Amino acid sequence: MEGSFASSEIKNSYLEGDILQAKSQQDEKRLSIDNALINARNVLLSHVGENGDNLFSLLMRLISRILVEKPGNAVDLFEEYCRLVKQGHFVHPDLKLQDVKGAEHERKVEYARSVQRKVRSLEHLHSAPMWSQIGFTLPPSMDYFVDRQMELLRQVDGAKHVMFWGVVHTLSGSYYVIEMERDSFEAVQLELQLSQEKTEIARDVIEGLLRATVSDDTIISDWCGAESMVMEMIDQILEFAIPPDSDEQLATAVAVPVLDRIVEEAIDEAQEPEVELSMMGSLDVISCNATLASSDLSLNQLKFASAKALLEVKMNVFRYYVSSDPVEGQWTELPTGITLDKIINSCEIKRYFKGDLDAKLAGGFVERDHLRAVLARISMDRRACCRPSDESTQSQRLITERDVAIYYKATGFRRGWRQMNNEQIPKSAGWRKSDTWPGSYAYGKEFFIYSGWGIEGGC
Amino acid sequence: MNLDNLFDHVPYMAYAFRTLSTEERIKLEHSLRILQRAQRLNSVYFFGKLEGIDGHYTLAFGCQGWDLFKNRKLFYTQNLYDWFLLLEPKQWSEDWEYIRHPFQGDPAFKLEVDLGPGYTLDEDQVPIEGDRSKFWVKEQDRLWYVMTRILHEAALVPRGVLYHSTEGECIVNPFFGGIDLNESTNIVNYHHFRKPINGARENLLKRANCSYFLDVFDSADDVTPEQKSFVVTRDRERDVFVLKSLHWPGMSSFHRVNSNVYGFFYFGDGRKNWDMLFMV
Repeated sequence: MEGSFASSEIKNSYLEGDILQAKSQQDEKRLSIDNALINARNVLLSHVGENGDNLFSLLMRLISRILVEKPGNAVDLFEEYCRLVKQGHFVHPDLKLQDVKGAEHERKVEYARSVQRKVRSLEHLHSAPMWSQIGFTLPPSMDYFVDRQMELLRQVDGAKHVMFWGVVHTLSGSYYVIEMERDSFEAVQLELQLSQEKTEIARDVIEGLLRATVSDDTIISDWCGAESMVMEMIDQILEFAIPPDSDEQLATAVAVPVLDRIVEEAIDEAQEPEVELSMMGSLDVISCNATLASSDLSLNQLKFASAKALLEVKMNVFRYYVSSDPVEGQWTELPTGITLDKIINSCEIKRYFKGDLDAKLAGGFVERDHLRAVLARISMDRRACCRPSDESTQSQRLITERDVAIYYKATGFRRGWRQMNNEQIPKSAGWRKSDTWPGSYAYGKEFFIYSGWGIEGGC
Repeated sequence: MNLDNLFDHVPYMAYAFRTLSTEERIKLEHSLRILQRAQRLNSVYFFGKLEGIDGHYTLAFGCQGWDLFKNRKLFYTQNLYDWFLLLEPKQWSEDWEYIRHPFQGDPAFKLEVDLGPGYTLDEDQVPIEGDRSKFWVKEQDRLWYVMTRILHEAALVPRGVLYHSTEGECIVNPFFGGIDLNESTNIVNYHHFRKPINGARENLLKRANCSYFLDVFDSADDVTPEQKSFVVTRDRERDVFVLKSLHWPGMSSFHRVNSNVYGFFYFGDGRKNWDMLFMV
């Protein structure tokens, strides 16, 4: 009894000392402004409203909102600000979380499940080609302006086929590109105003020239000789076909069908070692035949060189119209006169487009020329995507399998296309994408789209 | 792009020439809703698509609480029905950023990476060829890494979207009313969609009239090269601004002037453009 009383007395006195000590410490603390703020904050934090919000964060939000928005009439509308901050700002987490778990949300989830079941049941149906399948689209209202421009271009004399080519992103926007295939021969007849008679003469002379050169074995003894000779020959053709007052492009277009036919015939005639240039990769046959008699060799090389020249002419039948702002801006026709050399040179530039057609690039290039070369490369890459088995419409196309094979043989570029296959784009839909040009897509044989930076990809 | 307004904001993707097909939209909307329920997520964001060779991944992320960056969960799907959680791999390295090989399209695919020899300088400053750095990477792990990097480096939102609350959480500012035309053209007025790493003092000092709650986040001008890492384009008709990242081609952010319409999405192949500095 006694012992316990004594111990409690000791305890009491001990507690008393403790309290005194704490009190003195508290007095010291009270002197600092930090502690005053902490105390004030604690007081404010202890006022908790029904929605779980506390006075401190309410005031902080109110003040910060006034500071951020800097309203001119904060004093007049002070009550309104208080109300807004209290009501609208950050509904307490619990309230909204309840909703996610609540009956209303349950209904949404139930609906989502039923729609999903329905969609699953419809999946086997075939889907039509649409840009959106590969995730591409034009900005709102831009499609209208592009479409109108294409309509205008279709009315141009000699326009055979006009299509939307794609979009090339630049550092200051994007180029919208329209491709126009000109009706090569008729357009030229019209524009050159050559009479039918004169055209016939031109044709005969070109043909005669070519035949004379091909049959003369003595001249074409080596590769360089053959190539330079063909170039010379083409020059002659041009010289002849161009009346002095017309431009070079039109004249090259005259030569297209003529040259095409002659090369075709030359191939038919050269049946000895079964040289056939029409299939992909078959150009390797030429190198295999290198051990044959020199006359055959030269003949093949001559054919290759003339096929190259022909391809260049054909590539210039396509015209490209470019605009960086179809709504207000103008459409510019890109320069023609693209050659395989220009295309190979353009590979040196690996830069983003600046968005200004007149911009100077490294190596003396101008952006419009570089753009033209890149467009030509992507276009040729597109043509390489068709499998050799798709022969049905080959005859109508200007650039044939043989041209594509010659293009890749001459430039040494890589090529590769891949069938897109995933849940969204079933294989049956037939979308393919290019391995070499990221952003280049093909659907079937006639439907292409490009949306990228104009930079060749690869790993 | 938040699931709650994904449908409303899809037309804005068109300013970056991207869209979702109707089929994708329907599937996404509903499967993300179910995902949100199953994972008890407070908010779900659609992130984009990553194209591989044989297939592609659709990506999304979700937040468990109000804080956007705390306990964030990343997800991917290949059929738009079944979502899989992307977990942080036990071992990963910053070297994964240099992998040039495209994604295969199979999450279980293991890629052998050879980054070539490392070089050190001897006392005469002559480089000495070191060991080749070779390692194996599982595609699923790389997917986590790439998605995290893109979100960290290239996802932008206008200033004012992110709000640092008094409780120290980074949350979406429900009062955000957009930034005006002049502000939109300047990259300084966009913030990285990430937890601030630059330090409050540095970030706040950048602005003359700063607000702690908004300006504590890292502004987008800290990416090298300054002012050139993003292409800012404007649609004059509706004053929609699109910011395309050049470091991560395919990453775009959009914002409509004076409105709370904003978002970002990624349509790409998951490879960083290391040549970018030589291409601008």
